[in-house]
Amino acid sequence: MHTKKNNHQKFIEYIGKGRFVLPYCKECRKTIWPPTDNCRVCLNNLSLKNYKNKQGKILEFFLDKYNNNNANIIMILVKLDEVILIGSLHQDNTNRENIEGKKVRIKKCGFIDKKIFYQFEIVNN
Amino acid sequence: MRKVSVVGGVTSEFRKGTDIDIAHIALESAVKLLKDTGFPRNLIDAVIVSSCSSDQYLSSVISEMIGVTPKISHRIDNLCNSGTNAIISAFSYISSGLCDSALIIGVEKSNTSGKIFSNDFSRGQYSLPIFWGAIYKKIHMKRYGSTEEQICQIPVNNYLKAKNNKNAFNRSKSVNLEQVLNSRVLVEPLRLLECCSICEGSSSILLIADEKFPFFKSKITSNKRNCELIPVLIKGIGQQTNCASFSNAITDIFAQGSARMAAQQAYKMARISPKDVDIAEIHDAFSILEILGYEDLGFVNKGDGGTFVYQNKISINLRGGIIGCGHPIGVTGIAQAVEIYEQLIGKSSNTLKLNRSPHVGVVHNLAAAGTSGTVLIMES
Repeated sequence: MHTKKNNHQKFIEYIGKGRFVLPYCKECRKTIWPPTDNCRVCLNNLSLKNYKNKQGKILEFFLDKYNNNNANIIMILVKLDEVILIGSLHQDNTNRENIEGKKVRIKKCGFIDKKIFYQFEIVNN
Repeated sequence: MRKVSVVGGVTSEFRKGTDIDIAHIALESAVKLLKDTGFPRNLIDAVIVSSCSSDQYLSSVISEMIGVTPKISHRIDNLCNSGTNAIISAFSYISSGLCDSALIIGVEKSNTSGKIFSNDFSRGQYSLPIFWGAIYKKIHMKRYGSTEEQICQIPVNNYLKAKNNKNAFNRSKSVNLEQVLNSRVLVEPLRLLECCSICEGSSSILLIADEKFPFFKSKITSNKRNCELIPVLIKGIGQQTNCASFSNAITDIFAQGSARMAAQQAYKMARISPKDVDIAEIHDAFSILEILGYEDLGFVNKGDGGTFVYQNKISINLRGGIIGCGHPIGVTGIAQAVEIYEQLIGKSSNTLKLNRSPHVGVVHNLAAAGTSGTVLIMES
């Protein structure tokens, strides 16, 4: 029986435990998507790197009125090194027009309705 | 490489909510196509089914139901451009000499698993296509200055055309610009009326080796009356897959982009330029995608798609596009090709007929946030 878990399985397991990791290629010195065992650029081994405190940048923001009408939950497009993720930002009284370009880090991750979620928070320098 | 022609095509009614099983939905277009063309079933070498359904062994099940015993029978699933990918596979079998003819059937139920690409974790909890649709719209507006009015004109145009298409899901609906602009915002800035509806239906198309046309024609005229084969050449094919996940698509779509690369391949193969195109079926699952389609097909420069909305040089989405017709995922690419075929032979079942005879038609079909794009060029 094959017992060794691949990076895809580990990624899901880590996210399920609330641990935010991203695949990293030591050869390319880059964060690479998707989470698998081999780098899609050089095919060398990828490792999963803890990104808990790594800062990313908000590229764009959107109000998701399909799932909720809570203006304090904003859908954001975040760039973390070379990886771009869609996540959420929960913030009261947010001046939404000013959040583009703000630095963020992961606040929470896990599963909601069997779907992975990434919740970010703004990093106040 | 042998030349390949389309010799017939039929699209069924697009609708929602019936309890008809998927194989019988497939028969709605496949049986009509076989009857209309009178094509001898014993001469069909390949049956390829395009669908994102999880129903097993679908192409063989359908082949048996229509009394065809093909050499090659399988299913193609590539999300929203499954249909054009199935056509490309059939084209390859015929052009290589492996087959002389192929029947391609696209079929889908509205509860298809192709509605959501659930393996892409970069979308997080926002896995529905409306989220990337909104992202693309907002980025295009900010980066290139396209306006709400320009983008929202797309549904107005396509609903209007769908009214002339008896098979369109939205055939009884018409909307004006004000209604689109005032429709419910789903995800800023994307509105309800800018989105297509997933529905059920089928579309079938018949391809042959062009050099065998006299042979097939002789087989039909000897047995059947009122049946006819009219050939339209597939002159160019472009297919490009740049990635699968949103994370990698978002940087690609506004740079080179799979559909743009596919268009360049197809124009080169057909030895034509965008100026030669008379009619086009563009993948408008969201209004912004039609704007991006104008740019990727080379009708306008990158970023100028918004200004092309009001043009009348090229007839676009005459059947009503995906917004007007509905989007049975694995069917769409084939239904687009059938529409171009019928317009090129002057026999579109769509009552919106052109004033002039078109000679060159283009099909533009995307999958999974534009990570994969297909372009077909057909010439009468």
